[in-house]
Amino acid sequence: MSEPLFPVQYKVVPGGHTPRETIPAFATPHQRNDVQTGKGTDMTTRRALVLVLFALITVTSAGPAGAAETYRLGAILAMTGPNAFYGRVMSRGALQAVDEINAKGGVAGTKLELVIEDHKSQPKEGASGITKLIDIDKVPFVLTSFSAPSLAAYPIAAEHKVLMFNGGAWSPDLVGKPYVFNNRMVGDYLGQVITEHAFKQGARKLAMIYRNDPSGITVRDHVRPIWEKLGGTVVAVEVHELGATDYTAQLAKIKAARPDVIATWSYGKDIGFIVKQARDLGIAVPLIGIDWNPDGQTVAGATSDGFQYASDYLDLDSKDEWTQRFIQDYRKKYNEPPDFFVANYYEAVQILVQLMKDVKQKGGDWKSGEQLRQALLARHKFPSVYGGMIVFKDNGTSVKPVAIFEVKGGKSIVKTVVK
Amino acid sequence: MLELLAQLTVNGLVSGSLFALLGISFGVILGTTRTFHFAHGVVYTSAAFAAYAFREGLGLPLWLAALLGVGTAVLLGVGIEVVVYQPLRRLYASPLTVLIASLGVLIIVENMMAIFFSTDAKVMSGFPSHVIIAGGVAFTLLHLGTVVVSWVLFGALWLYLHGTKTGKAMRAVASRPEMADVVGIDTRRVFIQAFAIGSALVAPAAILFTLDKGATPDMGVTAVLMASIAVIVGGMGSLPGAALGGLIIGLARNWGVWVVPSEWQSAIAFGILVVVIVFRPTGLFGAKLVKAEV
Repeated sequence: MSEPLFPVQYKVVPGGHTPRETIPAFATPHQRNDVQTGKGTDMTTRRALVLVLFALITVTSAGPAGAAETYRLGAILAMTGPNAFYGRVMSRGALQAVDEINAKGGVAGTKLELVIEDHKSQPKEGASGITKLIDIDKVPFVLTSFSAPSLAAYPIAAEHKVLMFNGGAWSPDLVGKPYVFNNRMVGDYLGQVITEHAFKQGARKLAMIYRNDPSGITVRDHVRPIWEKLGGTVVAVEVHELGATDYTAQLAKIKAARPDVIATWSYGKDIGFIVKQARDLGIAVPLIGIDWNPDGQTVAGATSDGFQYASDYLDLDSKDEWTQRFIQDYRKKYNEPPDFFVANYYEAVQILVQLMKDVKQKGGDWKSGEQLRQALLARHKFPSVYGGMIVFKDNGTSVKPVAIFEVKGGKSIVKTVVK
Repeated sequence: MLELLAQLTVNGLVSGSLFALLGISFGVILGTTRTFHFAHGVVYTSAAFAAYAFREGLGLPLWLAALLGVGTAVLLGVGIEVVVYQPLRRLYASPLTVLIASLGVLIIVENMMAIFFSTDAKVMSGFPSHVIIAGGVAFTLLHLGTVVVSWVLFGALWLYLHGTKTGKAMRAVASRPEMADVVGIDTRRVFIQAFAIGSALVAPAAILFTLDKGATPDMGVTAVLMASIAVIVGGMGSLPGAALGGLIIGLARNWGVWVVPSEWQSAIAFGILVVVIVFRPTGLFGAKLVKAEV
């Protein structure tokens, strides 16, 4: 432990009665106990107890001899913290795939086991999470989410040649990295889709408000030249911090620039605030973006009507047999339809299973992240739970259906499906 | 351009009024008891969550839920004074010790609320959402309400402190605690009273904020930061100073983005704080500083 920040001072109380104050502030519980009660002999008994406990733990964790070996895969998700919504749906998707595969007897007789670490959407937790997964659980494959924690975890994964699969984050910074593959569409492409749509609808003067981090900045830089090439002008560009609640100053500036459309390169609750405060300021022009979720909806309430965004598209009415089975299994368990996050993490586990089979067939070691990666690069195409095939490019991105949604009465309605 | 300036002024008045209310609620406690009550932030949050729970959980009408929110804040504020600060004062704890204890209370209660209510935004219904547009400047009914409530409460506090016996006793303790003790004022009671009033004043700010932007467990930290900046800018011990300090910060944060890029907005309040501390350490209306201390 480092030195205490502030030295602890003891004031002598009038009357000189200071028994409590004489206990060192950083004493161990034992020391405190000794000073307060004087029962020093307790220690030996307690130490013996602790030893017995440890012995018990070691014995039980060894497990029954001869139990079938499982194949461990890891996940770093936002299980708690401000974005726990995403962690919940993503983990459900991965678990559904694991349960489904295990119910069929596993992969070549080996059952899968998913180990989830909570990154709380914090970069440092992402780094410690992946370290634990690699060092303790020895996983060759990790599902990841969120740009910042994924980018923090990536160097550690690459060093140990562990394959990462991202189905949630949309930062283009996760593209072109050899050990990460994205089955989520990256943000700059989604930004392009939605702004091109706005242009087709007749908008010419674009205002942008973006989140001040790589995921926002890269979309801003990608969209601007595209918009200008189409023949539009960018009249205002404003920025906000992650998790801000007051956007009125930025929006007042945007309002004064008189745009035809306002693009939001943000996500979560933040977009909800932007939409609500824009309407409160009497801004009537359309708002567009690349994300929308229940948290944002709670904040925006009725003002969300008409918000349009481009995102991965899971067609709940798809005729595809696999898609329907996946949707129905999920509904049965959670009593709500799955979203594309559930689908992406479900799909990632299914892709891993295919890779494991490929490696095994070649006589390789399926616990090697490098061999799994080579198998992916050899195959490129996988059956997709969205229907049809998902095709990976060498830069780690994939091609799959994208749709433009419009929020109406708090629900997202599909407007157009984009190839 | 004129329209933008007008809009920014209106935005600044709205957020400035809220900061002013935060400032006086914090200032009445700091001025009277000399306690740097950082846990005021969590009293603020508790009012928001209590009002939310009574409104959305039990379905009570908004006015009643708001009243119960105020009650919760008063209970928590006075509770912190009695359970944490009073014992520390009896031990002649240094202001730094009290400050750290206060910070500890803030962190503990904030996390307890996060466990209990989870961290997603809690939105409270019941206030008509009506946008008023006048000459290109837009604001909502709630924004208007925020301005009115803040300044009415400021007026009420001023009248209380100057017009009633107990209010005068508070001012006496604030200006000369030892003398107040000598003339027979029960300082312990006055301290509790200051905490009750400060907590009762911060609750409406929390509830108005929640109606506009929703409540999250971490909302109190920003609130208490803004409150303390308002008090320091306005001058410790001066309530009109605290109110004016809040108003200045609100206006500056909005006017500021007219000339500087908006990513600097959060730096503006702290910039003002630094300028005031360097060039006018007593604040705008502060009493003459005898010595600098924590």
